[in-house]
Amino acid sequence: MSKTTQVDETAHVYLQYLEGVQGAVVAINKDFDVTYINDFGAKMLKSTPDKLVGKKCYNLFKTNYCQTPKCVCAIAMKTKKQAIAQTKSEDIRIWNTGSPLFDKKGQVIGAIEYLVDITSLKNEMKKTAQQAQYLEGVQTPVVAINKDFDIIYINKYGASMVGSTSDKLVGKKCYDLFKTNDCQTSKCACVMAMKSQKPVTAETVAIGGMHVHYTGSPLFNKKGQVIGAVEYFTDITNLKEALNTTKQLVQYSATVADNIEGLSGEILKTAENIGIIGAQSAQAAERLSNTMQQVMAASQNVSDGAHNLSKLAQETAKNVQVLMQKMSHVNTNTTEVNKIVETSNKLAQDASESGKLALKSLGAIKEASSDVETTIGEVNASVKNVAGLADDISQIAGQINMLALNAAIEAARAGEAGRGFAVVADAVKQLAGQAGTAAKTSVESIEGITKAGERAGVMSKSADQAARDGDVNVNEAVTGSQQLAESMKEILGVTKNLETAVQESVRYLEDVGSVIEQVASFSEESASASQETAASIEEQTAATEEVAIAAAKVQEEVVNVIELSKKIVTEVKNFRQLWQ
Amino acid sequence: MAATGDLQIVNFTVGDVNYGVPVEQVREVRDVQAVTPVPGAPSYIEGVTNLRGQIITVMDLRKRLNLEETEDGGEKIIVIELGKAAVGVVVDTVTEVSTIAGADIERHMQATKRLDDYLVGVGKQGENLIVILDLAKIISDAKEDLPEQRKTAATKSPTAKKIPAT
Repeated sequence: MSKTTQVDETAHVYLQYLEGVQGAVVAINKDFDVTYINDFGAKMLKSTPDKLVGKKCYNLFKTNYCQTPKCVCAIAMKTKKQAIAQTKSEDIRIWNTGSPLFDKKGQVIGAIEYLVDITSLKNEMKKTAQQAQYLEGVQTPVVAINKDFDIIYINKYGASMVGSTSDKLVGKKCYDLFKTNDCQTSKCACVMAMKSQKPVTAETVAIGGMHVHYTGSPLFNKKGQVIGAVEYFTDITNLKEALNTTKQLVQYSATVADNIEGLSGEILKTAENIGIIGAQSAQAAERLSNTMQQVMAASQNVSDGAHNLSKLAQETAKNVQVLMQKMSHVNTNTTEVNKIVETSNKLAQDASESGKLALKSLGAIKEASSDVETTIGEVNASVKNVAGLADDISQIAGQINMLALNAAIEAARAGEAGRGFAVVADAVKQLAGQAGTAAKTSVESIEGITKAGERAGVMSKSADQAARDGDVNVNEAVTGSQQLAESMKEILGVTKNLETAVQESVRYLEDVGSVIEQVASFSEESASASQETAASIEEQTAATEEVAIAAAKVQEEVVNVIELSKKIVTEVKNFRQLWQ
Repeated sequence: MAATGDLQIVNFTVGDVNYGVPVEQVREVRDVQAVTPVPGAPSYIEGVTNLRGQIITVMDLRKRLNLEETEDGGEKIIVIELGKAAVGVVVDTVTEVSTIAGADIERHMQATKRLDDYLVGVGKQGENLIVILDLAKIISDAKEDLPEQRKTAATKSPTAKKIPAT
């Protein structure tokens, strides 16, 4: 094995590592014959490596520099050093690196070139350049700095502000340029931005007394680490001046307003004096005249003040309008407050009298409380009655349900003749179920009433107790009575529910009644049907008789239920009357 | 009337299971009422009761089917007709009389022979499966255990052997 081949092979071993490289890697000998090309390179040429080895590299890539002294491989082989160039192959922009290949003796035997398609990179760079152009056009200083405050970029406007050009300023410390009050302090927006990793805005005074409003934004590298900051300034000197002027105007207007207030006071006093003096004799006439002069002088002052004020009128007109609106609100509110205070006063007076009366009334409250207790007792008793009745309804509904079930069985056994009856039996069953549900609702309502009644009992007791301790605390008695009243309301609410529920159950039961009437007619029908059916006369008659018996039973039960329901309604009405 | 093969049943429950019995077997449904126990009867015979003048035997289906015993339930009696006689069968609830289409009944369950005898089939009603029992058959097979036949059946019935001769 010759040395050259060995070298060649060693080189190829290394070249294997290059297979995965996302660029074309090509090895050539001194005569520009391709000795190796990686997959990526072959793909770029829409071929495979084995087909390309042995061909001239300049026939493959056909860049602008091929077969010219500018060829990086030519340069690399000549200079024995790496050479880099950017070139073009058709529309593709290529970043081309050529490195010499040596044998063991150090003699050049060829070159390796590395070609990367940088078309998209170029486009990106173009875009970036355009974006930078936008920054250049911004009529505000924009400065980018690194962590050490070295300027890495400054736009035209920024540079012209300090009387220089962008190129000359790059690399200088930003604080040497703008010399603001914040520079090299922790107040610097860029320092804060880099620390907090968020944009920070601040105000300061820059070189030449210029007021600036500036914002620092952190710059990150791809890993998200802070590598510097961008700051941009806004000159707010004019704004500051305007603000100061406004401040002064406001202060001035305040002073004038104070003066006017003082003068108004004087006028008022003077007027009072005039009143007193006017009632006195001619001696007072002179004083009056003096006073009049004072008034006139004061008026003059007022006039002067008004003159000054008129200057301010334009600036303050808007404020005055707002103030007037607010004042009218205040006025309304005040009127209301006054009314309330008046009412409070009356109430307070009434209260003191009522207090005296209250002591007398305590006795009455005591009596009323014990009356309430008695009434509540009565209510509880009648509630228990209603509860019992509702239970009865529930039971009877169960009975009807079973009768209906038996009627259904009879109907099924009666065969064809019983079919109509089966439908009726089913309807009765459903109605009984609904009546049962309504009765259950009644029981729930009654439980609610019992609870509310119990609470009312407790309330009336506490009202009674408070009345007993009346000398100590009238309020408690009143509160107790109020709570009692609320409990009463609650009971009234629940009784209403109960009434609805009971009425509902009565309605269902009435339906049962009407259905039963149909049962009677069906029974008759099946009776006649059975008479006609000669073969099964005996059986049918027995069945229909039983149906008739069942129907009669159902009817009896329904009558019972309706009576019970009527009782419930009466009871409910009774105890509603107790409360109302 | 219903198509051929359709079955009218009385639906009832024992425990969580829905059962049915062909309506022809049922005379009526009643609330449980006072039962007079009969000494020496098998455990599933609750005793006898007076049904409008007719004395009938009352059987606890739960015990007859060897189902788990509970505190609740046993609220209704289904009166099954056996010719002129009648037997009350205690169940938990009786819900309705319904019709199951013949196509919805599986009549040959291929269970044990004894069970197949008692089973009319298993019917579908919506989501529910209804175990349709031949209560008349169940009662008839149990009849040898009934009080009035006790003596004659004593040699046949394994249960009856335990009953002391009176």
